[in-house]
Parts: sequence; C-alpha cells; structure tokens
Amino acid sequence: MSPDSLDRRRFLKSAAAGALCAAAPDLAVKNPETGKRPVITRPLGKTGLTLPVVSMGVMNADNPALVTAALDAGIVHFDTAHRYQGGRNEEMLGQVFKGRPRHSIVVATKVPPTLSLSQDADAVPDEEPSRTRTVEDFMARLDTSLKRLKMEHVDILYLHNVSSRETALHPFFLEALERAKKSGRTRLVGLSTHKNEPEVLSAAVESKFYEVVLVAYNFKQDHVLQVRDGIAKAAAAGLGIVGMKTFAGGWLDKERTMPVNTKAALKWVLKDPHVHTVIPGFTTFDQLEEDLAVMADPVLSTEEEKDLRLAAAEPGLYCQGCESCLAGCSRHLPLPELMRSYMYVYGYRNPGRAREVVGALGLPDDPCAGCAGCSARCARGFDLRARVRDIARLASVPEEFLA
Amino acid sequence: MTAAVLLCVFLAFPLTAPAPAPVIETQHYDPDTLFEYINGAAEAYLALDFQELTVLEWKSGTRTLRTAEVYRMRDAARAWGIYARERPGAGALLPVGAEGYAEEGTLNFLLGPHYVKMAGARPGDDEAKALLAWAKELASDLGGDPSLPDPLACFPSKGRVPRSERFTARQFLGLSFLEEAWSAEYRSEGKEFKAALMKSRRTSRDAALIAWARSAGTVLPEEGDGPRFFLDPRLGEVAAQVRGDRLAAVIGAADPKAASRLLAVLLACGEE
Repeated sequence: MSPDSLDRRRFLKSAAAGALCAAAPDLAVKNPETGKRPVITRPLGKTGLTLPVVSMGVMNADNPALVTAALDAGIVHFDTAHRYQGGRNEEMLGQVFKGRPRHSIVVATKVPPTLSLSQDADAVPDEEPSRTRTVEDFMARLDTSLKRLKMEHVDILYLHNVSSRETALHPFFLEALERAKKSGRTRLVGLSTHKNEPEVLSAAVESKFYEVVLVAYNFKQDHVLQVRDGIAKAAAAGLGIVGMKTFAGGWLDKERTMPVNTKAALKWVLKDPHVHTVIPGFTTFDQLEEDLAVMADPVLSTEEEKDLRLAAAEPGLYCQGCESCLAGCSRHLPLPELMRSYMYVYGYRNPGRAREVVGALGLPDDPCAGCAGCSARCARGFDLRARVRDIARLASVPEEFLA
Repeated sequence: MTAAVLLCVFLAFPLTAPAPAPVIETQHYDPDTLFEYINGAAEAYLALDFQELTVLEWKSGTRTLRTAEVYRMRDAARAWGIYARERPGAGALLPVGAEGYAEEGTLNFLLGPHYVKMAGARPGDDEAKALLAWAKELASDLGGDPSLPDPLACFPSKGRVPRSERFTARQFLGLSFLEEAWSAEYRSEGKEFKAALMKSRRTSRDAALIAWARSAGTVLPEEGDGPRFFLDPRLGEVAAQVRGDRLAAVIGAADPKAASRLLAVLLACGEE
C-alpha cells in the first residue's frame, strides 16, 4: 500500500466527517427560470461573483441545444478555451449566447502561455523569447477568442494549463494578463492547472495577482491531500476556486468497464467548502440532468460515500509505466511489461497479445522462484509477486490454446 | 504508418532556419495515454475511436521550433469527424491530403484515417510556406485515399451551411441512443435546421427512433415506413424516417413537406 493511497483513504474519511461539521457558505435560491429546482450557490472567493455550485465545462460539447438547456436550467457559468475544438467551441458558445443579456452569463476562457520568438525568419533558432512578441501574441489570441464569442469581454481569463511556478509567475504572462484586465477584455484573471497543482496554487497566492484558480481535484488523485491544502490556502487568500476533472476520468479502469459514480464524485468535490464551483463536462441531456440534481442537492448519501471509498481503493489493472517498482526487484524483472501483459489478459481479454509480450521477455515460468520475499513496490498498489507468477507462465502455453 | 517512416520524412525536410542543427524528438501515445498529452481534449478523440498518436518535435536546445501530431483514428469517417469538428467555418482550404487549412501558425489536414496537426513557433508567411511544404511531404509519405468520405455527398448542397457537415460516432445530439451520425446544417428562408443520416450497431433503426420519441415525451407506434413527426422540447420539431438499417432525421424544420423531401433524398443516397 503506497503512502499516497493511505493519504487518499484518510482524506475520504476526514472529508466526509468534516463536511458534517463545516458550515459551507451555501445559499439556496429558487431557480427563477424554472421555478422548480433550488440552485445552491457559493461566492467565488473575493471576486464579487456568486455562482451556482455546478457550472458547465463546454470543452467536449458541440451541441448548442445542450448549452441552451443548461442555461435554461439555471447554469450560468460556462468554461471554454481558445484551443478547444480549434476555436469552434468558442464560436458555438458565441452563437448560443447571442441575444442573451451579457450580465446573465459568466464566461471563462483560457489562452495558452506560449513564449513567442521574433518574427524575423532569419533569426537564430535558439534565441530568447521576445517579451513584446509574447504579449502581443497573447493579446491577439485573446482578441480572436472574444471575436469568436461575440463579446467585448470575458468574465474570467485563465492562463491555460500551467504546471510550474515559473510559468505562473513569468513576467511576460503577468504583463499580458494585466493588459487584458486593464483594457477591459476580462473582469478577472486566473490560471488553470492539472499538473503540479500544489506548486501552482502556491504560486497563484504568492503572486497577489491572480483572482481565480481552475484546478484538477478528485477523489482518485494520488496527491489529493496536498491539492486540498493548496486549495484551502488559496481560498483563504481570497482566490476563487473552480474544480475540474472531478470525475477522475469517468472510469475506474482504463478498459472503461467500471464507470465512476459521477454524481458522487461531483458531490465529493463540493463537500470541500473551499471549492466554489465545478465544471463537469457533460455531453448528453441525461448527464445534464444528473448534474442539475447535484446543483440542487450536493450532499453525499451514505451509499455514494461507500461507492467512492470502494472506487478509491480499486487499483485497477492499468500499469502507468512509472517504473518505480524496478529499483526494488532483486531479479531485475521487467515488471511494467509483465503488468501490462496482465492487463491484456484480465482487462482486454486478449491472452494472445499477452503471450506475445511475455514470450519476448524470455523469462522462466516462475521468475520469482527462490526469492524469499518481494521487495518491489507498486505505486498503484498492485500485488506484483502474485501478478508476475500468474502471468509469466503464459509463455509456455501453446498458442492454439489461446485462440 | 510507422513512426520510422514519419521520422524519415521529418529528417528529410529542410528547415529554413540556420544552425545550430535541430534535434528531432518523437513521442507516442495510445488510447491509454492520450490524456497525458492533450488532457481533457482526449475525450473527443476517444469518442471517435482514436488509435494512436505520433508526435514529432523539431527542437533547438530546449526550444521547440515545429511540431507535427499525427493522429490515427479507427477509420476515415472518424478522422473526418475530429477534423471537421475543429475546422473553421470560413477561410481558404489547402490542397494537402484530402483537405487542409492553416490558422494562427498551425496547419491541419486530413488523409484517410489520419488527422495531422502541425504548428510552427515563429509567426509569419515564411513559416506558413514551410509548414505547407512539410505537410505535402508528410501526406505523400502517409499515403492512402485522398478523397472525402462518401456519405458527405448525400447531403444536398441547396441551402446547406458551408462546412457544417459533421460525423458523430456516439451520443449524437446529446442523446445516448443515437450513433454513427452524419449531419449538416441547413438554412432556408431565415430558418436554420439540421439534417442527419444515422446508423447503429446496437439497435434497429426503429428502436432508436422510438427511444428518441419516448425521451421527448411522445409515444410512436412501433411500425411505420413513412416519415414520422414529433416535437422534441430540447431540439425542436423532428421529422424522421427509417429505411433498412438507416435512420434519417430533419430537426428544426418549419415545413413538414420540405422535411419529408429531404428525408427521401437522404435515404435514397447510396442505395443500389
């Protein structure tokens, strides 16, 4: 069992208990459009905005009717990006929002932090990036996004996909964001992160500049405790916190046979009172209905909590190939290849492919024979020895038996 | 298409910028690892049965000068699906592969099951020309049928909104039971509507149509050969008809007769 797994389990427990005691600053208001479902809202840090706890991540949606249905149901905050669908995603939103009162919607987009070289084609290729060019290119991309959205400003402009302190605090990008805000092209500035989140959250606080952070946060993250702490500190500093990747990919296994209880996963994130809204990326009307139910009642049921605990404990079959196991194996076995073969058999039900891989490794039927104890440790919690013994014998099984 | 072939094309292509000599790096991603490269955008590719991605990076020092991402989808229809989803609604198309376009320092093109996305770090016309030349080299080495998928020809050109054609493998219109759908937008007398031609592996056409109507709050009779009409509160007026293993639909059209005519054209397309 890895320390991270233990952390995650402990967190699931403490979050569930804590949520019973913590008074989240939720407000329940009747949906003025439908008059039916209550909408739970939270203030977005100190930004002055108050949002329903469920927003829409539009990235994978290309159906204007679905966005319209979300709007009509009381969702007001829509998250897109300059790059989504090559810009078509912003265009689709622009079409849907046309004619709606601008103050009735909260639009967030993201522009990538790209360092630009000089425009001079003869310049040396490894030259330093140009400050002027970088800022101008950033502004040009933002203007393209605004044109696609048919808007003069967005409500939140994120620096897209930031994974280091260096990028978060890079003076070229800070200058570009500041210029965007001063010129009225955005009301708020922020950054999005789904890698090294704790470091990026910390940099956002340190900057005293960013107002919103869009952060990956879910019950399956290996480093969920650190992310939670980073979020708490950022929220304490007044930043608005928007959660993404809340479904942890939507599946417990890479073979997509075991779906995540998405409703429970969403509620789990919203149990953290420092998360102000989340942006699930629904693409069907059924999924929208599920998310709307969470918007009205984000409290985890006992059954849902149980589901998530089981899911968090499920190591699955997928070997990430991190190779952290290799150092511990006294036989120097190719453990990632063997784990992948195991997945072929028990996940993909493709023993023929597994036999090919195992056969090419040239191992004995029991590569662990004579080894007193297994000192190799898997970051995902796989029982390495048991899986190696199970899969290695496949090499000696005649091919025709596997057809 | 192997990574080795792609690498040869990459190495053979002349870089306009001077020394120091660039370094080529390749990366490979499969359906299990695509998230590591394009994060959440991977969902759209996986929904169209993405198979493999080869990324070629032309680097000088730590700086990436050009990249080419070669996405291989399950078939040409699915490659078209992801290409069309990202293609701009206006602007010049380029004669590379089956079709391509340039936008904001990037050049994307389609060829058979491959969708290729290229980018240069330096803006300007010279870079755009260099990208196009490289794209042609790459297309030549990828090989394959440079024509567009046949079902696109089923959609009559009159009133069709340019470049509105799409292919959706699953959850067409946000409805989980509609799949394998080719569609296009139409505009007539100021009114916009959508036409679609669908196939399904899991259900009979009629079952999909009946499920659709039921989800919209309407009960349709089980049998019926002609066009059938119902109101979907989420999408608008629907005219739909089943023939053989195909379901055609017109969504949002004001005139039922015009919708019926369009259904007949769609269903006749491709028949012997």
